[in-house]
Amino acid sequence: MSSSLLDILNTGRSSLLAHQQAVSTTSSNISNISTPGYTRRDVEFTPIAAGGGVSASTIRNQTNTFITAQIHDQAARKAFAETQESSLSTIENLYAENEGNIGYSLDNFFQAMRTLSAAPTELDRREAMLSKAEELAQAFSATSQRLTDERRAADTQLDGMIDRVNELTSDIASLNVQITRLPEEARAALKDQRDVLVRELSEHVDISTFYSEDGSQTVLFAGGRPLVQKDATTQLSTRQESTYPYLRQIHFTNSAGATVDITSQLTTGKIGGIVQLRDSVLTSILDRVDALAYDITTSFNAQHQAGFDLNGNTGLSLFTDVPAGAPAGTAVAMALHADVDGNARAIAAASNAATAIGGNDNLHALSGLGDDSTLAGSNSRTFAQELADMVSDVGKAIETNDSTFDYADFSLNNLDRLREQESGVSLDEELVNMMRFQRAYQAGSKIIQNVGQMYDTILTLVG
Amino acid sequence: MRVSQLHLQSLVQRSVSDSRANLVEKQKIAASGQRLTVPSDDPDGSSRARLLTGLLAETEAYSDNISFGESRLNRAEDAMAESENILVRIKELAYANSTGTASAEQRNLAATEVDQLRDNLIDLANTRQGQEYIFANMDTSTPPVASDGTVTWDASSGVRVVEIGPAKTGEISASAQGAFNDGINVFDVLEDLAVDLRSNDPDAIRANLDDIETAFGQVLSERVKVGVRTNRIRAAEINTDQTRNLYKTLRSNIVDADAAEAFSDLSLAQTSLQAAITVSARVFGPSLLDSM
Repeated sequence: MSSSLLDILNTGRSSLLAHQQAVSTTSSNISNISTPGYTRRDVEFTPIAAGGGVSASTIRNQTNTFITAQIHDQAARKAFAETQESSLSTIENLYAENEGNIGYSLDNFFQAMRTLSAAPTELDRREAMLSKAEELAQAFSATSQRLTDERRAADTQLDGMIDRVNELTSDIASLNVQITRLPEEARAALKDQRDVLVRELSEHVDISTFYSEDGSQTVLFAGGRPLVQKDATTQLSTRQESTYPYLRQIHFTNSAGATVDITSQLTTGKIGGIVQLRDSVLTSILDRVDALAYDITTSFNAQHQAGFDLNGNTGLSLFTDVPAGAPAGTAVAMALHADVDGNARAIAAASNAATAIGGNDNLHALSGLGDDSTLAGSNSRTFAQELADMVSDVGKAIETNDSTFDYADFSLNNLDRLREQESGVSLDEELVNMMRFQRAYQAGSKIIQNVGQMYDTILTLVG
Repeated sequence: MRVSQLHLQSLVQRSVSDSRANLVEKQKIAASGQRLTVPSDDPDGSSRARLLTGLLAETEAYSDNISFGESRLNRAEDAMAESENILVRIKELAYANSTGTASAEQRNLAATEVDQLRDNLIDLANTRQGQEYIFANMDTSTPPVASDGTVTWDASSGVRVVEIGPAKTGEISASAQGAFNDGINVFDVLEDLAVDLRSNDPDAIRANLDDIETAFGQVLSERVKVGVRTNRIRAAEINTDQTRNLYKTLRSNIVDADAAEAFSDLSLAQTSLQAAITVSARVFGPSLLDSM
């Protein structure tokens, strides 16, 4: 079949248009070289069957869904560790060798007891022992208070995060709607936007996503529960369940309208990090502080009650009494007992009434409590050993968190590089393309020029 | 392999910021001289450091008790040395005035001196250090000897004991009872002597000599006891000094940074940062834009 001159003209025209489109695509790529999360636009040239020629279409590069899924995974892990970092750092200082910390105060307390035993009737030394006992109580109280504050602060952060998740899901849903209404070629920019939102969402909770035929993206989380399904979203909310107002649970409203407690399913991402920090890490550190305060209080009180003070009285307590078997809350309330507070004579130094003035046997028994390895750590350690174990525990928690962060950060960096390799923009490549398409445009214009000349030739023949 | 601009930029940024973070860390160590300031620097190490700090505080307490005890015992020993001197003088007086050559006048003067010396002895028995009567065993707030010479024997009769080492105790008191009233009351002996001197009876005066001898022996035996206690305390002092040094060394090994290592690490970190910065300048280097 032969083509008419008009057909050839059209072919030339199609080349111009196609390569114009190509240059536009390349320009778009070059302009977006700094845009994070931008997916490269490729040009696809298709030959036109009827009459020759070419048409170009701009296609958004097909992102590698496997890499994307892994990126979401690692982003969640990194955020999980990052969220806990600052709180853990603050807590760590409570266990460093600083004045006012439990270790320092415990050492001073024992020292004051031993010094008093050398001259048990001297009021100065008695006052000193009371003062060190008070400092110990205050160290426990302050440490416990600090931990509780951090736990409360963690809980407060939940509000901001949950709000952001709800915002993100509704934005993704509305983008879904817009995308389904547009033809394929026009969807690219909105898809880029949606990718950015999904990436941010993945930092908050662990998600898995897939695409539907119509172009919408479904986002699932927490063991398959839907967050975004086409245009529908489900909301997250918080609820106070326990007796502690700052240990709220996270709820999810399902399709039937009922709210389900999903706190235990949130094990990664920013929200998972807060939950882990608040419910496991800080809580277990606090529990140990309470347990140690309880053990010290009960052991010292029992021994002190067995002794006699300068006035021959017995049965006096050193620290405020605590109900048996209930260590929770002991640390924050720890203080000198009214029996001895402000009354240095009431320290029970002696072990019997006959030696009430000048005896120091009970003081020896009291300082001997420090060597008893059945008194702390669930009957397995001395007070000092238990405290040392708590110190290393805190250190290890931070070490673990740091290494989780480092590994996730490293992996994420690698994955981003892979993603960029496939779907990113390389300046060199785009510039070469630009030169190429420019040349092709020139060539196309040559076709039209030639057809024009051919027309002239024919017209000249006619007259 | 496609290398995107974003990737290049992130590469440069990371390497510089990582180097800088490392430098800050090394600066901190070099400046403070410590490689361990918070538990996460070395969890197991900080646990051991905590125990060692506690042990050091305990050793200080023992050391304080040892100093206190030693000074108390020294004081007691001095008082007893003086008491012995007094008794020697008493013996001289008794001996001199038990012969026929002494006059009633001399004997009266001697009696006055004996009374004076008796008061001195009571004062010595009531020696105080700080707020405590050091010869009063347990109840150190009451003087052990009344002005009339009765030794108030505190029923506790125990010796003051303090901790001078782990599971080690030392006695740090001396006893008025032991020195002046254990079998023979020294003050009564002196009182009897004064009476006998005033009565101008040489035989009666001579009869006191044995008692004075016994009294001297009694004070001496208490002084020996104090000497033994002092030696034990001094031995413990050597021990605590060694222990203190040991704990300090162990703790320093964990907590302190080796100066040479710290400064060479710092120098290395500075070089790394320099290298990272220089390299990053080149990474963004040539591209097609330069020739278009």
